[in-house]
Amino acid sequence: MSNLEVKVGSLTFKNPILLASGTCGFGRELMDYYDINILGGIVTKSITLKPRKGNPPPRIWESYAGILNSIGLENPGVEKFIEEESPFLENLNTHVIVSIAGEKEEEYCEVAKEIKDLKISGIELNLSCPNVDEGGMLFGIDLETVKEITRKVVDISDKPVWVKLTPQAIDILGLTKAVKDSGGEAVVAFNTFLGLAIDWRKRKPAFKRIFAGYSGPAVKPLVLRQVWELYEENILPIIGCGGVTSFSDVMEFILAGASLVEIGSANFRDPWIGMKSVQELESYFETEKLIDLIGFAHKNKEEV
Amino acid sequence: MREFIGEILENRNLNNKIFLLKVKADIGDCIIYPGQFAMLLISDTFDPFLRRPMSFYDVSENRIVFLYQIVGRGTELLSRKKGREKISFIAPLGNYFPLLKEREKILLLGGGMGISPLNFLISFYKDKVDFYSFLGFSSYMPEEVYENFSKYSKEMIISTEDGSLGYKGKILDFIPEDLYSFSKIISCGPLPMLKELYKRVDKKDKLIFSLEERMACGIGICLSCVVEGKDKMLHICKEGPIFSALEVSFNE
Repeated sequence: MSNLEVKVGSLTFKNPILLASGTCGFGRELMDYYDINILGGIVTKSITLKPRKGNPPPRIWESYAGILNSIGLENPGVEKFIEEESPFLENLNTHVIVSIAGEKEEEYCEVAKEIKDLKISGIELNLSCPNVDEGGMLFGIDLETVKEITRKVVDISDKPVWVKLTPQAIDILGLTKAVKDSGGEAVVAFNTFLGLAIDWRKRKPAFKRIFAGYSGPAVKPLVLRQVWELYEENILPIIGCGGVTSFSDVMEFILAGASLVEIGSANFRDPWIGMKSVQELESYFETEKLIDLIGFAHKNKEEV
Repeated sequence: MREFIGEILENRNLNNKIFLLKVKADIGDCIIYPGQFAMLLISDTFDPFLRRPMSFYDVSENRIVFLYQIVGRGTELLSRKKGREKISFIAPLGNYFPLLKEREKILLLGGGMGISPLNFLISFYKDKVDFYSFLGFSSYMPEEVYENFSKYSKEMIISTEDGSLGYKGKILDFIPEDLYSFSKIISCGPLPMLKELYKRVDKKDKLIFSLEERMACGIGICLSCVVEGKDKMLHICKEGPIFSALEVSFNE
């Protein structure tokens, strides 16, 4: 067993580095930069039942040490996804987690049904996208809806189901318990933070939808805090996602209690960041086992 | 495409907020074609976080030139970089202008910083192609910027909005009425100019644009830089930045 191996629910990962949904397409583009099979896994761009064009530009706006995005779930729809993207994904030698989004509860179920027979590792329910008028984050802030969708998808699919949470939800611990009770195997903390930018020269909001999702190094401390609290409650394995830009960020998440780490916006700045993080972990964990360090900082909290 | 670490030879203010950035970089056997672009890293810290997309203004052996204007915080910080500083860029990205045949008759229409990829195009073919260049700026521009156009064009017209260089007015007012004789019309510049040109050219298959939009990654994974296509969204960094007018939907 490799020193970087991590088990989350029913899946075993060769290392804890995943690429976050919406920051690695369907994996193919990054293959021009490095062999993504080195990663613990990738989470695909969210798939919806029907194709979605997404939001009008501008879709991206820079803020201090981070970015606001308003992509709006542009994707080819599940039919085209199966036809055009899944052959490549099924042949990868790493875990492929397919992200699902929808405007209605049934949409999540329909997509889960459609991809049932694909050779993929698991499903990440996007109950947290802030850039759509229906579904997404609006589902993710409501306990009953999270329970309902998770349970239904768990029933339909024989694959492990994760839920990507929104930091806009008030009761993160309650939601995580709900995910567990509904048969989910892990939670991903988090999707982007709801933010705003004003184009002051034009004296109007930068984005058509006014609010947009904020991510990048600036949000890391906010996410780490929540990962810490979730770990203390010991409900479900935690997948940390928020502002990871380097090996040291990965270590912070592991020590705070994340079993896996998803790298998001940093892929935009440095397409090789996933590969570099794995390589640095490999050299750091020459003799120790990474699983022994998950949540380790909690043991040392008295020593601060 | 690869990441290159170049050394800044000069980063000179030409006029107003316009700068010429010359970088020495060992690009080895990497071939860069006119129309392609690079993603430049502005800061080693994470602020600004994203790289900035920039067309190649010129490439000759190991000397790479970019032309840019300060439009925000990123370009403002870039403008403060000094000679001998290192700069990282990922390149070459995107598609490129169609390859031109010898003695092909080409109309080039550039507006503002949009002349950048056109300059690389003209310096790539020099006098092998019959270029007719029409360049529009808002205000005065030193000769150095359009030197290649003067040297290698059969005809060159410049206009400025304030009349401080060339004719006074919008450059679209100075292009020939009869556009049929050109084998291709290649344009880059502000969107209103491109849209107006689109209306004027009947044979859309002759018309080629280099487009821009706010970009996060430059490599096709963020889906930020979209332009409406005929039946789907097109991603400027991946399917472009060079598009045939047949592909894009400019109807509003």
